[in-house]
Amino acid sequence: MDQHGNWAFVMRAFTKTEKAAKYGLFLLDCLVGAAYVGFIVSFPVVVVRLLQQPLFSILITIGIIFAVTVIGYALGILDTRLQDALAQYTFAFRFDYIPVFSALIFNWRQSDIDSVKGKTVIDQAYESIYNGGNDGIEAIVDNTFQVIRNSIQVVVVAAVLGYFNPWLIVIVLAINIAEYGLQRVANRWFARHKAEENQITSYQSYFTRLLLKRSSGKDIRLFNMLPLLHHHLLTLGNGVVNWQRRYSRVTTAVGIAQVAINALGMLGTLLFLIQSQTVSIENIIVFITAMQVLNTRFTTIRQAYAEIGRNLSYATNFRAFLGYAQPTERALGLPDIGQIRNLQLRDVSFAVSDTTLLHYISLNLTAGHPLAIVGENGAGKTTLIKLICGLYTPTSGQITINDRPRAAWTNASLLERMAVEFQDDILLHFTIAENIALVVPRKIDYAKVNEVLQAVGMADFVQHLPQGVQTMLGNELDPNGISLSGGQKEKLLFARVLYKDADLNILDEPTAALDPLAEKQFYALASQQLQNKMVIFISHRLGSLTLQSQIMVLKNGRIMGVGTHADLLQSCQYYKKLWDAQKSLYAVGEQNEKD
Amino acid sequence: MKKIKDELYGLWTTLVLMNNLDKRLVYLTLATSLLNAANPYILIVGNTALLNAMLNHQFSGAIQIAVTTYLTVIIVGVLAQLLQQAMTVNATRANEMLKIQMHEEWEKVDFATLETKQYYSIMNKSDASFRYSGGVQAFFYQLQTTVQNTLAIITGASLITWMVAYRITAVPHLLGITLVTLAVLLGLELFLSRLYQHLTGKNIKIFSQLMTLEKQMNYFLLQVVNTYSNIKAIKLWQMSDVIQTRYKAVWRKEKTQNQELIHIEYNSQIVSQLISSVAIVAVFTLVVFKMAIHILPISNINTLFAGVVQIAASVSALVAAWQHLAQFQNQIQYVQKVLTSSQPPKQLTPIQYLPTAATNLVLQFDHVSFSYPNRGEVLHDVSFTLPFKGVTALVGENGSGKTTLVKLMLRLYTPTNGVIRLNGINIQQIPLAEYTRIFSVVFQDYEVFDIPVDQNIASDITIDQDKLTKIIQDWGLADWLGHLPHGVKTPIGGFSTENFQPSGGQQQQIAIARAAYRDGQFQILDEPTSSLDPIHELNVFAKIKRLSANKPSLFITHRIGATTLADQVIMLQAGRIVEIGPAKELSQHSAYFRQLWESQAAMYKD
Repeated sequence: MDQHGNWAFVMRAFTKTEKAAKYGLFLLDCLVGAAYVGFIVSFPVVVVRLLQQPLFSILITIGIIFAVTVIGYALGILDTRLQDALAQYTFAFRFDYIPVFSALIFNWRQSDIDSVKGKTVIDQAYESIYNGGNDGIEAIVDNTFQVIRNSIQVVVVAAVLGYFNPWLIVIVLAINIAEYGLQRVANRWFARHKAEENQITSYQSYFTRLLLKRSSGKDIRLFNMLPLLHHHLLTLGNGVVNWQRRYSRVTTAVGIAQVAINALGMLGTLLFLIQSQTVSIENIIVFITAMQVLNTRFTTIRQAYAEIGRNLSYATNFRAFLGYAQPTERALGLPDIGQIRNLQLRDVSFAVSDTTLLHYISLNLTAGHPLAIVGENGAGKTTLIKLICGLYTPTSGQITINDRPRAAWTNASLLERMAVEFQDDILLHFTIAENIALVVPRKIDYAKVNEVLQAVGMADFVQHLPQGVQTMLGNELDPNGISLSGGQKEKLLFARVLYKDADLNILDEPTAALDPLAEKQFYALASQQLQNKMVIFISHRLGSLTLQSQIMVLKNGRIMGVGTHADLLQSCQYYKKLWDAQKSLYAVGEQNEKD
Repeated sequence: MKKIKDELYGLWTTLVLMNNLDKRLVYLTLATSLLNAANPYILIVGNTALLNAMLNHQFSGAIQIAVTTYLTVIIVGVLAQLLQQAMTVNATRANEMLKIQMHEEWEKVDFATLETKQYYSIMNKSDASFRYSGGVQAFFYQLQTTVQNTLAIITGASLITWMVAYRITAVPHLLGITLVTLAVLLGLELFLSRLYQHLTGKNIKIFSQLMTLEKQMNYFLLQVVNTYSNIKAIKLWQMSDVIQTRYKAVWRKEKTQNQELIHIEYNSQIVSQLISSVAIVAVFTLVVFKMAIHILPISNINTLFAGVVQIAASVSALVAAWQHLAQFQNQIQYVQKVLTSSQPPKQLTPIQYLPTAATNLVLQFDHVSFSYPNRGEVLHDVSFTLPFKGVTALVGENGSGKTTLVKLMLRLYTPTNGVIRLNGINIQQIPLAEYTRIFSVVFQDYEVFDIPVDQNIASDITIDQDKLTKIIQDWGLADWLGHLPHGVKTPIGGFSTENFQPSGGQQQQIAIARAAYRDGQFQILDEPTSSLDPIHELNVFAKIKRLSANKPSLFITHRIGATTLADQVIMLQAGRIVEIGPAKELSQHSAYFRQLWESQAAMYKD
């Protein structure tokens, strides 16, 4: 763990912008702080000297003392003002990374997003910027400032003290090194055991999120689950208390030791002074004041240094995330695909770790000949789509588009010409228009938006909304946002597909939330709107559309059969089983009717 | 003045709330504050006495004073640390208790209220308030700081006052000058405190604005960026642009507010520095003057300096703590709202005779209508009789009101008009716990919890093992439970090392097993097969048929074909019952039924 390297990385990132302003401000702050502390320590001596050996008349003496006091405290206030300006910079440093992070994540390789390691890197990196000023990169910079600023002040005070007796510096240093050692004990305990506490609190947040997801409320009430939940919440609560008890034992022991060392140290030094019989008010005053100031400054340095150490674990994650290898656009000079005319898969297989998810899949797709991929949950349908979209690369076999390998075209142009609707697609809490066009408002073709709304049968509904297509969906960004039914949501998601007007359209379980009538209507609409395009439908049920298309049946990642409905009823036993199961509900009725 | 009174009153209510959680905490806080406030002054007084002894060349006396002083400091310091430890642990416990109380209020509130926007907003705010306020520990820490520094200021001020008042009449005009200076000082201090209050008010306002913005930022972070299943669509549709534009708009607002907040916090610090330095300068000058004209011994210079430094530090700590207490008060009000305004479901006077013991139950809807708050009517004048016998199918298109009807049946909702009766008795009069025990339910959006599988099924800690084993066998869970590391005791979810994530199908089996274990007198199943492929779906319908021989049930479906499995069919259209009766009869005399049947069966005709 290259701690120093990580620290340097964070500080370099901080000083990348507005270098002059930041350095200047900090320098000024250190000077002012040092001047202020010099004032605090030497002022008592000045006063005593002026009182004991008056050089001027009383009034002027008082006047001088008054003036110096005012200047001194003004320095203190100026110092605070400068720290305000610095705090603005350190806050902005951390906060500016938030949109940077999201932009980076949106460009990650799919395999990295899907891996546990990738997700962990992201989650941990966010902790370095999203937990406020006390944890993360902001804390590193703030505490670095504290260390430097206070160290300078320590030097100033030590100089004053040393003028009186150099041994005093040594004693003070020794006391503080001992206290630092004790502090590290507490910090190490914390670092070692924090993970346990994290586990408990993240489980607790699960229960909170569970209850905030109000749909869970039905089961909780209907099954009288209050005692069960109480048991779990209580266990977790006790876990937190126990952890805190163990941690407090450590911090209290450390605290007691520090109190003792501090007091004994001061006592020892005083006894030393008494023995040496250096008696003058000035000496004693300076010593007492300087000791107090040094103590607080050293404590601040210790704590700040320990905080830097603690936060460097965040710096590791921060650095890891920013440096996570990203796909570079492959060879330059690749052509853009003008229009996707055909798609071919030849013996495509795909495996993740040691599990093969797809075995030797081959298919051929052209415009006007829709393909329906059918199979139970877990058969590999969604995985196949991800391969076609280029989110994954096949482990063997080849995908060709317009008779050339997929990699022979620029990825951007391919994405332009295809539209994929996944089963878990969400609508964003933005306007209806933004959700359909998926571009910023000034680039939206509103005529087209209205056209597709008409096509999916939502035009009336949207027209009757007070703000029409500018109505916000969901209530996260606008408390007055509307909520849509499952059916309406599916229609908008399909409107998205229509708006894009792509050559290759893939719809993954687009009607899961719809009843059969609505499902039938949807497929009628879809097949009509996409009749001259390349289309793949995915479903776990056989619907009216499957009967009209070429069908591919998948089970456990293998093709069980390909062909028309009539073909498959003859040649594929599994398909016949599916068909009979679905039909049986209605066949019984027919039998009853015949009776 | 009123504002301070309001703040003190708010503080008092919070103290009462905290005291109810743990009575020892307030005493521990006071004791710790006392000790911590005392220590610096023990040191000051000791050092001044030491100085005196030294000036009078009483060195052995000096040593004695030094040792006594510092040993006392150690003892007091150690005691304070031990009390602090007890305080921290107890405060943590109180915090956890408060969180549990709050969560349980969420669990108990009437379901229709739970679904409203207003209650959701209160829930979110009360949850967020723990994070923003720092919890009970933060409250007691700030309280301790406040009390401690108040005591310190009082002590220090007394010492300084003694020095100011000492022999004040010894010199002509001294009293007059002192009083004038003090009057001017008071005026300035009042002005500065007003300024500080103003800043505190701005602080709180910005803080609550920030909470709203934070929630919006969290939407983007948690529901868009960190919901990794979204990333594939974001890439394929190139949504980055539109998302980042909106994200940055919110982000910019929060950045500005935060920077403003930082300004205010530092300005508050400056004001507090002014408050103390103005006083210090004035008092200092007066006292030094007295030393200059020799009416005050010069050894007191130590008390003066040290006292002044101590007061300055205490003032800035006090005003910061006061501001934090005000912030805390502002946050915790949401928790208090949840605790005091919770409304368990309506319960009319419960009756003595509970009809649940009887075996033949009949549910009756008597002209029942229902509308959601602020929305139109969803069910209109529904009347029917449902004996708990055999299998009933509740059918209709999406939006016809099927789920609402069932929620009314289960007392999750209360009718806005009309009455629901069980064996003639208004269900509102039956104790809620007894009433819900009658039913075993599986909703379409059932919840499988991240707890052990057996607890998910039994909905309880105490589990009837024989019953559980039988259920597991009956419903096909035995197949995959056998492959799990701890079998049925395996915890679900990522909070345990096993990290068992059941598939959609397995989750549905768990939900069905839960209903089966419940063994209510009536089963209700809402679209039990929507995510299953035809073969698995048929299995479930077959099981429903099998198990309804011994247990009456009602299932909601939009597959008209499934009505053949039922003895009776209730058909809803646009919130009204249009048909009710056996499936065979319906196909004969209901045109609407035949229309729906045809639309679904058409594709199976050769």
